[in-house]
Amino acid sequence: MIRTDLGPVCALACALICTACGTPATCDTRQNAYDAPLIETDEQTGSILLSEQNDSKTLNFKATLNDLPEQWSGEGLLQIGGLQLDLSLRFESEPSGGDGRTEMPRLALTFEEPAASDSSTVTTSNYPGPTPFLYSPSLFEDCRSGAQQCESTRPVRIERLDGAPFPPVRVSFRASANARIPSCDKTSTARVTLGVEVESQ
Amino acid sequence: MLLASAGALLATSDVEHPVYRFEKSSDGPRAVLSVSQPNARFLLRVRVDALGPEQVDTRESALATVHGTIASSTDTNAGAGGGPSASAGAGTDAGSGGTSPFVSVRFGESEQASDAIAALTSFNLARPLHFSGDCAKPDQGAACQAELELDFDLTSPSALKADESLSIEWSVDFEARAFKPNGGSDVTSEAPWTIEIVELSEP
Repeated sequence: MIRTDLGPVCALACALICTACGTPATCDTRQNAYDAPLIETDEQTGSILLSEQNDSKTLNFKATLNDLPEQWSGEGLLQIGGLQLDLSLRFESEPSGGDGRTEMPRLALTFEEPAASDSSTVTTSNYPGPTPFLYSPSLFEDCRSGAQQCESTRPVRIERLDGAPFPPVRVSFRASANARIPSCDKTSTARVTLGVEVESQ
Repeated sequence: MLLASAGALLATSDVEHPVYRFEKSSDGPRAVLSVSQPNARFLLRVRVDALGPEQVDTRESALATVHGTIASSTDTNAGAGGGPSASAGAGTDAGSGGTSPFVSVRFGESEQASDAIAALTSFNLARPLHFSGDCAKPDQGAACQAELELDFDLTSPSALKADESLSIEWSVDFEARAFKPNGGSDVTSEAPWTIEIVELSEP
């Protein structure tokens, strides 16, 4: 009687032990990207100055995934990543603006997606802020399955639409990139980097 | 019984109540700000003359919205052809001076100074109206009225040249709404109010 009751328990315990001890050579199950640990870059900050009407500059954000785990290639695993960008406006002198209560020149923000040959443009309000303008596109969607390295670029073109009597306006940005890399390899050294180049038109 | 009540509640929860929408607008007197006259103050007085149709109170959710535009005398003097270059010059002057001739627009009775906005070319500022007096019978007894003080101040008068001025054209829209007691559809009409705008002299 006692032996009969312990039989299934013992079988389950043995199965668990075997699962924990036996490291498979390849992934038996695909790890959900949302469960994978998040890797992210340090925050990149900077600013550009737009002094006159039609002044325009482009922030070229380039995010790179490096040292991707080899298991990717066989499994075609999913990855998810994103750019977190916020833009805020300030005048160089008082009133500094950006508080939602100071009139500022409007800016046209064009977010390009080179891989999709697509772009979208939004215009900032006359009284922008106090919350920074947030932009968080996905990254690495076009990465080739199995690649050891992967790169995404997200150019953001900023054009000042209004000139005088508005003083020069400084556009500050804070950006970081992140990704979740599903992998069976707990010691994965995958990392993400983010660079930004300012291009004047 | 319980189900029936719940059903009735659900049935009525999405019902839109028709309203009377009362509106009234008034142009304000032009304000001119300069180095020698860096501010202007106006008293906006709204007096309720009568109840609305079906004896509804016309003060509910009453709101005043002031909007206007600001133009520099240099823009005006430059004319249509020379506008852009003159404006660019003004902007450069302002920038090099480290300040710009912003106009602070605020309601004088603001609880917080942060209610003010700083405008260079246009503005839009709203404020609820609070009435006092015998508002149940507005055509009798103490006048049922609300007052707002509107202030325009140059935040940095030194940013203007001695012979330069800013001209502010402004107007105010008043609106209120009240539920229609007997249903029907929304009705928009002129508010039975008298609007008075008085320029206040400096104390």
